[in-house]
Amino acid sequence: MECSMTGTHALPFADAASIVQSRQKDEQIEDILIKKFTNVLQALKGQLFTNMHPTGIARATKFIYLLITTLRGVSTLGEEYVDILYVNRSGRGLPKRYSRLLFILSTFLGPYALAKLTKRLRKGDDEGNMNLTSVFDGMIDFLLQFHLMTFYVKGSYYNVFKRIFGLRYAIGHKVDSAEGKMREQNAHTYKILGYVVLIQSVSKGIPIIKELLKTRHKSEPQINENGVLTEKPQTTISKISLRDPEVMPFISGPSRDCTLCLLPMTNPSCAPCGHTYCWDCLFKWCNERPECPLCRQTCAPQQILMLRQ
Amino acid sequence: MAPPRSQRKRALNCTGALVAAVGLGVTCWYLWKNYTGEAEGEQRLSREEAAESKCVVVTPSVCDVQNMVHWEMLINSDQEDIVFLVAPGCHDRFSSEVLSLVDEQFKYKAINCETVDGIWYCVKSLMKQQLYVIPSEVSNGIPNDIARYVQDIGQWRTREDILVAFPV
Amino acid sequence: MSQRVLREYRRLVAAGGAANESNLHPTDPADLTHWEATLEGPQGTPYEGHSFPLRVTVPDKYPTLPPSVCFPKRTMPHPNVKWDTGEVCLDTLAGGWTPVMDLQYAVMAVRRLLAEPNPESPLNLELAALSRLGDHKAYDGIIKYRLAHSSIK
Repeated sequence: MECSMTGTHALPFADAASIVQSRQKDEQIEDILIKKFTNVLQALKGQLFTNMHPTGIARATKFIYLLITTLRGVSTLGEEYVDILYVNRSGRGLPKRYSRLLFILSTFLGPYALAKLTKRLRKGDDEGNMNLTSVFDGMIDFLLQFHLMTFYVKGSYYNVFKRIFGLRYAIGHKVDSAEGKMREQNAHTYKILGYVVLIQSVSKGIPIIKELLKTRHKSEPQINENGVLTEKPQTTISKISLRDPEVMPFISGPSRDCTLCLLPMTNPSCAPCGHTYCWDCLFKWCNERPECPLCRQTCAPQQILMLRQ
Repeated sequence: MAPPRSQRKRALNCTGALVAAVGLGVTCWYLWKNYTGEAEGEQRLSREEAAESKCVVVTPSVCDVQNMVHWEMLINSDQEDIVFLVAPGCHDRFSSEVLSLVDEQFKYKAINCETVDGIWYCVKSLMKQQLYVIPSEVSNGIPNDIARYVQDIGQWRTREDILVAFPV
Repeated sequence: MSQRVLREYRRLVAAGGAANESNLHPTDPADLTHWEATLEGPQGTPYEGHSFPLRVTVPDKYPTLPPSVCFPKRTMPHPNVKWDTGEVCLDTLAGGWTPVMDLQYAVMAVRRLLAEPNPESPLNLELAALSRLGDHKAYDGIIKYRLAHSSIK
């Protein structure tokens, strides 16, 4: 739908509701295309190939779909469905071909680059650096949420790369007053959604920042060669250690060792089934999976009982 | 004199686009290089593995030409990458007429299959370059998907075909 | 790194060689994240008479997370081992893991897998199909072929 536009008259920008709707329609279409493409590849290269590369096939399909629509300056089916079209940042002209091309290339390659980068960071983590990966992931998450919020509030740029390369949507027809009113109402609903996202990301962000500040300042407790704490960490509860034979003498010989950390138990605690471990060891595992490590009976973290003298 | 505002803005836009394009180009090149590098290594391995390799499905006619082809010579050779899948019903004959002449260390190159389906799973597992088989002597013929697991299927019809493929 | 691995190492050394029939040992005693073991092919299986090196990698979150094990690539023909990579599919080292198990237990579980393959969760589709088909001669034949063929090359 390459239509000529005179520079002075700007089309009204599309609202969030119709952009989301067009995207949903496009996703439907893409799903159908991916299925067809997979069928073709299955016939050509076998099921093993299609099973091995489902994401690659999906990405390639989307890439081709964008090439034959957006790059050529033709609407995608979803855009046509709600009658919106690309305009540049000012809304006074069509976006340049190179910015459309850059947008398409980056939607295609962005995820690859991101995966590569996280992998590299993770490698760095393994070598004992700070947990860069989680910080990086957190930052990306935060930026994406911020982007989403802006979209909901202002109704511009649903896709990050569209924001970067300046591909905005405008409504492709004249809007009369009734339609305008309805669109305004919809936009209002989306604004509320935007503020909810903002609150969510802030509430998520604060604990992370706090945690970061804390780890910066905390000194690690010293652990000697035997894996025993030599410097007592700050805790309010006094510890019960079965290292001392006087403590809980009714627990005999080898049973005094925790089967998880292989050390004499610290703060012996038992699961509902009666199996006993260190509090820390058992709690850590039950957070991972709520069952006794030995007999696999259910054991939610709140069911753990600490033994007392 | 400073250029007009719109011109400056356009220049700025152009620089931005240029930087983005160069960045993207570098990313593309890097990914491409990584991708092809990995693929090459794998390809080299599989080609080495499959060099000149052959897989023969042993059916009665294959046993019949033993006097002319002397299968045991192929099996006893270090040079030949060849494996024999012995169809059900031919185990005893192949064992007494051919395997009895084969060195102990090479006997692994003959695999007895108790079922016809078993033969095809073996073919798929071994992935040899060349498959030789007499379709008329195997019930239900060659399954369609076998072509994906070998590079070439030599379909023998007569004993003469065997002698052409393995000249004495 | 988890202190638990260090204590497992001490126990292994203290118990002596006899208790450690798979010769499980860290590749480098200074770095307890990479271990090696040698599995003897169980009697009565096509693996008999061969021995197989096994690599064990201990994750940071061990023992909450299971160790990962891997054969060298293209050395282990088995329904639950990917031939091209040596990757092992074993419930004990995935959903069935609990932290009371240790590295030695994991290695023994792999050893048991050699004797008792599980064709229901295959990584080597053809071998699993042969096993399900019940074509024992072909199944054993392929395994022996792979073992002999790779040792000659």
